[in-house]
Amino acid sequence: MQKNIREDLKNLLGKAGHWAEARYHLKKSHVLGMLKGEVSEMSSKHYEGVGIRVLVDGTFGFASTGDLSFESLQKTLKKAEQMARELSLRKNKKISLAPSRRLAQGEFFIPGFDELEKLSWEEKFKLVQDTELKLRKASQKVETSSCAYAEVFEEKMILTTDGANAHSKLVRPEFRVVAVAADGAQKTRGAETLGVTGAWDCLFKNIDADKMIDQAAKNAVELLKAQPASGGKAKVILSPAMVGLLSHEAIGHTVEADFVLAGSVAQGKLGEDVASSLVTMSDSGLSEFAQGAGGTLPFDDEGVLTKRVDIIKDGKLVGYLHNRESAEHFNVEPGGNARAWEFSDEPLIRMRNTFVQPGKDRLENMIAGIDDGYFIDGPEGGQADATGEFMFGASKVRKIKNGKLAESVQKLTVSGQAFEVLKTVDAVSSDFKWDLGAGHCGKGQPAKVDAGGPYLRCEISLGGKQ
Amino acid sequence: MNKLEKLAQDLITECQKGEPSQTEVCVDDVQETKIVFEQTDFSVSTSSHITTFGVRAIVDERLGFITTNFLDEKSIKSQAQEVKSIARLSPKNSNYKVSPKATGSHELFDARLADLPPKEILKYAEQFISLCRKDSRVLMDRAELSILTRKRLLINSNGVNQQVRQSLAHWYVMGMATENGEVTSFDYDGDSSSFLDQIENKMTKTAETFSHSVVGSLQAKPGKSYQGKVLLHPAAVADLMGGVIGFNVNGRAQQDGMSKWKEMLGAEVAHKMITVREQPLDVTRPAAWTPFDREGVPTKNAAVIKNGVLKLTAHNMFSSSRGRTAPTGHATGGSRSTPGIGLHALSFDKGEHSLEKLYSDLGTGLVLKRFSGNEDPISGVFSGVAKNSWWIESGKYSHPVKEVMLSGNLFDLLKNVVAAGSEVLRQSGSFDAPYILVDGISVTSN
Repeated sequence: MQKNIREDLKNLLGKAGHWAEARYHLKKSHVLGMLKGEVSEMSSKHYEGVGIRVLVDGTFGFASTGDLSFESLQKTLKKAEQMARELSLRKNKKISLAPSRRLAQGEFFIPGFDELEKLSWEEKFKLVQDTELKLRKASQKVETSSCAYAEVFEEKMILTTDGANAHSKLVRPEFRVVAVAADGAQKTRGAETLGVTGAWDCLFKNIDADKMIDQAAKNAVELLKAQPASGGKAKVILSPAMVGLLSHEAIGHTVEADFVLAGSVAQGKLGEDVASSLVTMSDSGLSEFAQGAGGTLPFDDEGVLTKRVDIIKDGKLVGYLHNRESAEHFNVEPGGNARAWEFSDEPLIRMRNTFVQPGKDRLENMIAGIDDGYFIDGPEGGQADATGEFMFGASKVRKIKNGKLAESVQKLTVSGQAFEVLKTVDAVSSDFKWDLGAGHCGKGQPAKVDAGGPYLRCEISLGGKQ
Repeated sequence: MNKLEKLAQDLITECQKGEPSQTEVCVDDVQETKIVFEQTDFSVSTSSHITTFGVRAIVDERLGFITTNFLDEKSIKSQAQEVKSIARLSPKNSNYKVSPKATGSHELFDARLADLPPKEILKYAEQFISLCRKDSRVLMDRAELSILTRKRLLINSNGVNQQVRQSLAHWYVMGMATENGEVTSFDYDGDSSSFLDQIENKMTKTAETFSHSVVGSLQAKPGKSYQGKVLLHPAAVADLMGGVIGFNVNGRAQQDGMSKWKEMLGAEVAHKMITVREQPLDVTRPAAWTPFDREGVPTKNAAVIKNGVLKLTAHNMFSSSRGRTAPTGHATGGSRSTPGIGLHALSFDKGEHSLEKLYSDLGTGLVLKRFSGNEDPISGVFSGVAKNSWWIESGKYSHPVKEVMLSGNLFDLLKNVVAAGSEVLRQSGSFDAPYILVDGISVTSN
């Protein structure tokens, strides 16, 4: 970061004469990948600049620049003002922002940044090379193997005319192994991914590279002989990763305040019973219950300190996710959910780490309570609808027969109406795991998020054979 | 020579110093003005001008890549050193190559569009939004109109100098419909144009298609569970068939054993009714228009599948070198990534049947418009939910559906074609296909 940027941003906003927010954002990433014995990626990426948002005549204008000279910052501020003025002529309802007592000030350094900066490229690349080689040899059925390591170092500085003045540094590493198994013309894929906010001790705290190799290869090989599941409604156990996906896709998006205002299923339901009383769900900028959650951030891109926002408490819908504008509309305190992907993006309402709180049940007893059902793990992306109808894929699915785990079945899609599914929850395990830290959420812009929770037992629809 | 070209050329010269290397610089320069509308009001207006440089250096058969959004005369030396030092860490591979000499300057540019002032852009945005909301049952979530001038410069140490300049208006809308307390699934649509005088007509069409889709999803009911025929709307053809074709023609995926179509050039991979073309030079699809690829190789229109027979393996420089064949102009990506491999602009040929005849051939079953789910292009397994889709009963339109899931295999889908529609419809401004009736899909309805 250039030494004088903080001072320049302060001087710039001092002359604004209206509400303004200036955000310096540096992203430096490294990606190292091997595919079947060859380098697939060996790159360094540097993206740095300032985004300026102003509120003029009750209207937002936003402009950005990669040129950090003071002259360029001044031009960018003027451009943002021009954009706001033009738009204000057609704006029906003028914007006002919720005042916040929680505007961030000071230095916020999340552990891991310095450790990973010091770790050499050679050491990182060796891990990738060794892992890919071991994966290729893990089974005779493994035809193709790949391994990739990525790390994103982020440095941010946010200043607003109403008091935010904060600086943060954090790093998010990701590690991924993929095995493709083959049997004649049939091919299947098994993958394991990790993603955290922190250093390697955090990244590999639950599972090491060797274990990931075993699991990816095993999953790919088992899928070669797997049969399709039977379609229809089934009693299932959802793993922490699937619970995270359910929390994020099926509930989280529908309670983003912009989506609520557009008419999502959560509109007007505050205080209503929307889930089993065993379910308490939250979204937090902190890494709750376990360290290293991938969506951790100390303050959001409006300069608001992040906090835990409860969405469902003991089965009742109790909160939405807000930026300062929507918080003012709903007359609540913003919780730090305004996020921008890069300096050139304006902040949107986004999730951070979304989770179901652990309960009191033991996983073995939960499985034992199912005569005919499925154990569902291995999330493969998903989507939710305004109606609360959701779908997501699962790649690691096993039958449960007479209270015991049985054979694997093919990849499938689970679906349902979010609140209806949550009402069927009859057991919540005491475990807790963040397990969705690799990859991104998409909503016009990407966002680094995480999600997780305990194991849940519920009823859900499965796409399968008729 | 303009400033960006000089910087790129100087960077190549700097990389050549000391040790022989092949170097490529890809520069993307994008100016954008964007108007955003959310729910019932305009929310923000934005302006940006971003230049990014992607530098690929191959030093002694070792590959390094850096990208940065800031480059000036002072930083050229350090950037050259960084990319070469990354390359030195990489194992040797004789297949890393930059492309052979090719030069060209390409334009799809309308100065009236590129220079449109914010006030005028707002008028178009207002017009688009009002068209989308013409039916009061439409609930808008978000709509955007962007006016861009994008330039790409691709230079390498073999003498490649390819340049393109394009003006582009791009718009999209996302939303639902509501009536009597019911809210439908969301849908989205969008298009783009490089010319100002085409915007109004195209926007009107986008707004009508979007509104028709969401309003048509009101009063959705479950369907029935069955295994058999499903009629794919062109949007579903893009999702399901376009995706599996794009992955499996990839030369590197074939070489690495991930594609099922390895050594299947000339073999039957789809029903003989299926002919698919790659048309990167089609200027009527400005968002997909690609006169040269990510490595500077000129692109060309070509058949991908002809009457069911595989006709193309897509290569970039790496996979073509490894496969001892010529690059095909299918390097994809931008200045912020190393070149991948992909198709640019796909078109499915039309068939012979009217929509009424396709309904009749379907009998009773699902018409799938939007597929929301997961597709594995390696195994071919797909499973997901039907969105904005409808039900046919005894050959006639019956009702929109909800809570209908479907699953099957994408490779089987390509072969189990029963009939194709006689009209090709463009999807999101870049993908052309007719309705296609397929057999062998499992449909599950609650």
